[in-house]
Amino acid sequence: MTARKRVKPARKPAAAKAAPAAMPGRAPYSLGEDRPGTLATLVERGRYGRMVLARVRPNIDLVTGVERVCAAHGITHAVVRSAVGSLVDAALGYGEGDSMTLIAVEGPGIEILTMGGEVRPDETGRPVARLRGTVSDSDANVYGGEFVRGGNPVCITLEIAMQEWLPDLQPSPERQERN
Amino acid sequence: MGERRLRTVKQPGRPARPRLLSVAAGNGGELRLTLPEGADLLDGLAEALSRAGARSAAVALVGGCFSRMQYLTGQPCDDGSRVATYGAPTPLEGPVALLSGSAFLGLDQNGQPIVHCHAVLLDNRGKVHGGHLPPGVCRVGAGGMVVHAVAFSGAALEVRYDAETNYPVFHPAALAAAEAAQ
Repeated sequence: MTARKRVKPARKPAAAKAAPAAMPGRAPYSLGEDRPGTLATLVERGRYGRMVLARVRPNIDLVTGVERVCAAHGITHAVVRSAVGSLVDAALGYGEGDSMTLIAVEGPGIEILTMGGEVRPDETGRPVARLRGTVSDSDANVYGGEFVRGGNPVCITLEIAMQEWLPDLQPSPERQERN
Repeated sequence: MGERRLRTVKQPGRPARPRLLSVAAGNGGELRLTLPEGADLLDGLAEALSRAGARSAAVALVGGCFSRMQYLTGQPCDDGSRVATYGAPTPLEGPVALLSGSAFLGLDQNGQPIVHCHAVLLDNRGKVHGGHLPPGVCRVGAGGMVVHAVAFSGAALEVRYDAETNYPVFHPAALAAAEAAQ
C-alpha cells in the first residue's frame, strides 16, 4: 500500500480579516476590549469530576463519537486524559475557521499517536469537542493538526479517557489583566 | 470548514452494537513514575503501575529516552481477515527520544496487566517517527522515562476478542463494588 498525502487548500475567506495595527511599545493585539493594547487571560475556576472510559467502534467519526459519548453521560465540559487508536483515514486541519487548511492522510490503518483537547458546550448546551494531535501513516510519516469533524472514521478501535471539568458557577469569567 | 464525507471500510465481522461503549469511572489516584534505564517500557510500565495499585489507568508519556527500540505502523491487510494490520517492525538505534505518547493500562484475557501504547519519537539523526510500541523491545535509556497516569476506580479496561474487527481490543467495563475494592 502506498500512503498518500494530499494537501488541499480549503476555501479561503471572502475577505481577509484586517489585522489590528501594532501599537508602539504595546502588544500588537488585544483580548481585553476595555483596555486596548493589553492581553486579558480568562480564568475559569472549577474542579475535575468524573472520568469516562470509552471505546469507539469502526467507521464512527472521531469528533462526533467523542461528543456522543459525553452527551450520553450528561457531560458538557471535559478534557482528554489519554487516547490510543487507529483511523481509516485522517483529516487534520491547521489554521483557524474559514482559512483552515486540510491535511488528508489515507489509510486504512492510520495510528493515532497522541490526542489532546477539550469538550465545551455550544450555545444550546450540546457538547462540542475540539481535538488536536498527531498520527502516523504506514510509512511512519507523522502528521499533526486538529481532527476535522466528519473526516476521521475509526479503523479498528479508539480507546479514550476523558475527565469532566466542573466550572464554578459565576456571573462571568474573571479577566486577569496583564501587568 | 464543513463536514467531510466519511470513508468507511467493511470489517470482516458483523457490526456490533452499540457503536459507542462507555462507562463512568472514579479517579483512583494520580501517579508520576520514572522508569529506570534498562527497563522495558511496556512491561516495566505494566508491572510498576500494577504494583502501585492500578488495575486500569490512562497514561501520558511525558518524555524520556530509549537506548534501542522498535515500533510498528498500520497498513491495509490484503488477505481479507482484517481491515488493517501491522507492518514489519522498524528498529531504531539509540538514543531515541520519546517526544510524547499515549497509553492505557488494562487487563488481558488472563487477567494480567497489559499496556497499549502509541508514541511520537525522534531518532538519533533528528527525524520524527511514530507508531505502536510493542512489549519487550523498547529499552529505556539514560535519564529514564517519565510518565503520568491516572488510575480508574469502579471501572476497568479489559481485553476481549472483537469478532467485528478480528482483533482482541480493550473494552471498558464497570466493576462490581467487591471487585473494584480489590
